[in-house]
Parts: sequence; structure tokens; C-alpha cells
Amino acid sequence: MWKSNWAETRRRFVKWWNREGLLVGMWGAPETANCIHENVSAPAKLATLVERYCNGAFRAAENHFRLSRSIFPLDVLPTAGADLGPGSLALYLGSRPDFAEDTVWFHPCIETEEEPEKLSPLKFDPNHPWWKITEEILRQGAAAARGKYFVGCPDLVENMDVLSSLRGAQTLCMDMIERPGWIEQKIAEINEVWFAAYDRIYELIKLEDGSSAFGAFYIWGPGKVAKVQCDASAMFSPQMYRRFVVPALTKQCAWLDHSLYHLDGTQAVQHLDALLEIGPLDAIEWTPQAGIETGGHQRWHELYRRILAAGKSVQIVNVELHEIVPLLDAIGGKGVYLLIQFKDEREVEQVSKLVKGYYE
Amino acid sequence: MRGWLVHRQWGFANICNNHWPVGLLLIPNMNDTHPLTEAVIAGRHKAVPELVQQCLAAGEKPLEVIEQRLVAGMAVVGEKFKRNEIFVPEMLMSARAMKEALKILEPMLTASGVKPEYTAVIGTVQGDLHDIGKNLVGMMWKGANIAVVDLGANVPPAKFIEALQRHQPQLLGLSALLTTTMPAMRETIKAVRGAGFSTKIMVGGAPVSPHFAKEIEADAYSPDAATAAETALALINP
Repeated sequence: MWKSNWAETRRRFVKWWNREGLLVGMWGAPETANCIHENVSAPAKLATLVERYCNGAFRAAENHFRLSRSIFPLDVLPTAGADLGPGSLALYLGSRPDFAEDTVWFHPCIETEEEPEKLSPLKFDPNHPWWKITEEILRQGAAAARGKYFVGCPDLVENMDVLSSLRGAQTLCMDMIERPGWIEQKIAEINEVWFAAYDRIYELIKLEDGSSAFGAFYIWGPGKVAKVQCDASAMFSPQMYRRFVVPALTKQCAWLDHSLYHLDGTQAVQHLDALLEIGPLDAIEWTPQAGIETGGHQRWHELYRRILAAGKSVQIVNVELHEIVPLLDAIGGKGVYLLIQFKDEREVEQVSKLVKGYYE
Repeated sequence: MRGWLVHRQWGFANICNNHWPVGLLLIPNMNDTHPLTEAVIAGRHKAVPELVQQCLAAGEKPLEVIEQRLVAGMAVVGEKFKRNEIFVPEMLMSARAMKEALKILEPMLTASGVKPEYTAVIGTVQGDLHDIGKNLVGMMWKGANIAVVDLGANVPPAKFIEALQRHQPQLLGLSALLTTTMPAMRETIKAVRGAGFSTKIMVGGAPVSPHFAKEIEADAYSPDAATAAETALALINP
């Protein structure tokens, strides 16, 4: 493992999932100018954006090059990304992607269906071209990693967010009123597709001890681990959330060994009570939308206290250095995972000193 | 105007000069709500065509149906949305009901030479394919009797400028849902001003803040679709 303190971080992650320890990580890892772990040459840049996303050998070589020059202090995870955008499960179900430098757009494929009830059930197809591409990215990534770093599970995404990619957000919103039974049926089908895809991914990326990492939000845990979400929930009522989302999420969290929910934006906070009632959900991550106070700000201390008081662990993103001590003093360091964007090793040292009293 | 509470009072004079009145965001007295207004509020779009015909058969002018039944209904929808009594799905259903009514009424108004007094151009900026927020704002503007030219999503600055030249609107609405596409909002405003247009510009979208709106020299910011109608009317008719 290219992370020298992996045994300690491993122990801390287990404690964090159990709402005990403090984790201090990063979205990505600080990169240096030189190869540290292995002499690796940069891969030749491919001509098109689509190739750069979809070519398994290129993705593996790019990750290997980047990670060979990165440091992994504190609980920073050495993770190779294998994402085809946020929500790639929709690709296996017919959505068409549009690749951009910093994201992937998913175009609806059943938006104009006037009687969607007549469509065939959504099923996982192991021969689907987009699944084959995913599989190849993961195979190549795992072959390059060989225990030196993790290959993170791609950000498949689930329930309403995937259905929104297939049906279009606006049509889906009206379906929620006009054909709620159909929505429930599709959400249940999407869950089954998610389980089928995840099982195959897990077999490709798991470590020898059966543990695994999820790429988005940098989580690792014994067994099957994933980030789950419903960003579309910012648009609808808590009643609708309980009806359409909670049953599928509950099933998903129970199926996984460890789960983290990505709570995105103040409009989604209205669903927090429902989330906290999901017993098998282990942790919640909070992303304030752009333009307001970032994750470490005192405005969110009460939110974190609520999550912790309900027995869930919490992940806090974009914490600024000056926010660390007030934050930990306010909410404690048990079951808390801070994601800090370290600029260099000097900042890592600074943070190490700041968290000393809380970091076991 | 029995049973109606005037929430904002702009544009009464315009009723008499071949323009649709704007700015009459009327909140109906719910104990005395017209069935068409109720259908808009409840989003029962299938009931709307018959109710519109009933209004017309009862002697109401198309303009009166819009003003007294539809605009009032959408004003209630906006208020309910602001109070978290309804959410995006319910708002979309109401907007669809209003659209059903306008399908019947707009050709009648056009035939008689009556036009909305104000026009707005709206679009999601280049690089951003989100459109639901922009659509909702467009619907609320229509619900406030503003003619809306919707350019869709991923709109380059040149296309906005072309639309400004062609439609000469009083208002331009720009939407962005990603932090990565917010710079495109700045570029669009720069291009529009650089092309010599002084059209009022309103911005919105999840990552957009009043501070950012000011920084990029937008004329107004709206936090949500419900507020967008009021803000637009205040901006173009101060």
C-alpha cells in the first residue's frame, strides 16, 4: 500500500463507522512534483474527451501516474477514480451521456413516453455497452493498483436521481403526482439494477480482506461500502420523500455493510428527520450549496449535533483550517470525518497539530 | 373585483391601451374562488379547457379570464410555494393547467391585437444543461402576464444577443445550476452590455447568491421561481 499509515487509518475508519473515531481526509490527495512511490511516466493524452473518459487503459495509467506522485498523510485515501460521471447507473438503463471536462450530463431516454407503464421493467444487462466500458475501466484499474491503492466504486447513484436521468426531472415531477405507483415500481427496479451492478463492481475492486472503497466522498470500510443520495429530493415534499425514497434507501443501506448519505443543499435538509430514522444508514455527509457558508462554518454545528445525536456518523466537507478547532470543540471528535483540501505538506502539519486533542 | 385582495398594484392603466396588464398579482379570497382559479391552483389541467369555455360563454373577455382567473391562481401557487405548502411537482402541475388555458386564450388575444406589455427572454447559460428552475421561472413570468421567449439550456452569449435584437425584451433572465457554469453568467452579461443592450438582467439558480449577482452587475437576483415574478415586475416597472 502506497499509504504508509494505512493500518492506523484502517482502524480509524472502523471506529468512525461505529460513531467513535475522528477521520481527517481530503477529496483527492496532495500531489507533488516528483514520483514518490514508483517511477511512472505520464500517459500520452488521448485525442478526445470521450476516449479520456472511456479508455480503461488510459484511465488506469492516469490514476497510477497521479497517485505515484501523491502523498497520503493522516487519513487521506489513495483512491483511483473510475467514475463515468455522477449517476452512471442511468447509462446502463438507456440514458445517453454528454461528456464535459468537469462533469457528465445524462440525457433522458423515456421523457416523451405517454404511457411509461407499458415499458419493459428496468433490468441489469451485463452485455450493455456502457457496463462493458465500466467493467474494463475497473479491470484495468484493479490490475494497475494491485494493493498499492484502492479502486473506488464508481458513483452509480440510485432511486429518483437515476429515474430523473431517464425520464427528465420535469416529467418525473409530474409523474410523482399522476402515476405514483409507476414511480414506486421503477424505484424498486432501479434498486435491483443497482445491487446487480454493485455486486459485479465489488468483485472487481475489493481488497483481499473483502473491504472496499467508494470513489466519491472518499470512504473505505469492511465489506460493501457506498455513498447513497437523492439530490432530486430538493424539489419535493417530505411526504413524497418518505413514500418514494425512504423504502428504497432503507433496503440499500441494509444490503450494504456501510453506507453514507450525501445530503446536498439547504432544500434537502427538510428530509433529515426521515433520514435519521433509517436504522441501517451509518453516516451522513452535508454539502452546503455554493454561495453560502462552507461545511466547517458554525452555522452547521447544530445540524451535525442532530446527526450525531441520532447515532449516525458525520462527514464534513471543505473545512477551512481556522474552522477546525471551533468545530471539534462544538461537536466533539467522535464519529466525525473532516475533508480538508490540503494545499501542501505544511498545511498537513498544521492540521495535525490542530486536531491533536481529538485524534486518537 | 369581488373577493380579490390586491397584493400588488401596478399596471392598471395598461388595461385600456391594448396591452395585457401586468403586475396584478392578485390573491383570491379562498372562500370565493372561481372553479378555473381552483383548477389552476390544484393543477387539474384536464378540467381547464371546459372551465375556460364556461367563462367565455358567461361573457368574460379573454383578458379578464387571464387576469382574474389565471394570474390570480398562479399568484396563490407562488405564495404556497414560498410557504413550503407546495413543492416543485405541484407547481409544475399548476403551470401546466395555466398553459392549457393560454392555449385557448392567447390566439383570441392575438386576433384582437392585444399583446402582453412586457417581454422577457430567458435561458440557462452556456455549459449548463439544467432547465427545471429556468422553466419554473418562465412559467411564473407567464403567470404574471409577461410574454416569455425561452431559449432553452446551454445558451451561448451570442444567442442571447440575437434574441435581444429580435424580441427587444424589457427583461433578460439567466439561470445557472453549477458553480462551474456561473462564470458563463458573467460572460453573458459582459457580452450583452458590450453589445450595447441596457435590458434589465435578472439571475438565479442554486449556486447564485445576491452577492454574486451584484459582482457580475446583474440588475436583480431571485432566490426562487415564486419570488421571480414579483422581482421581475418590480424591476421592469419600478
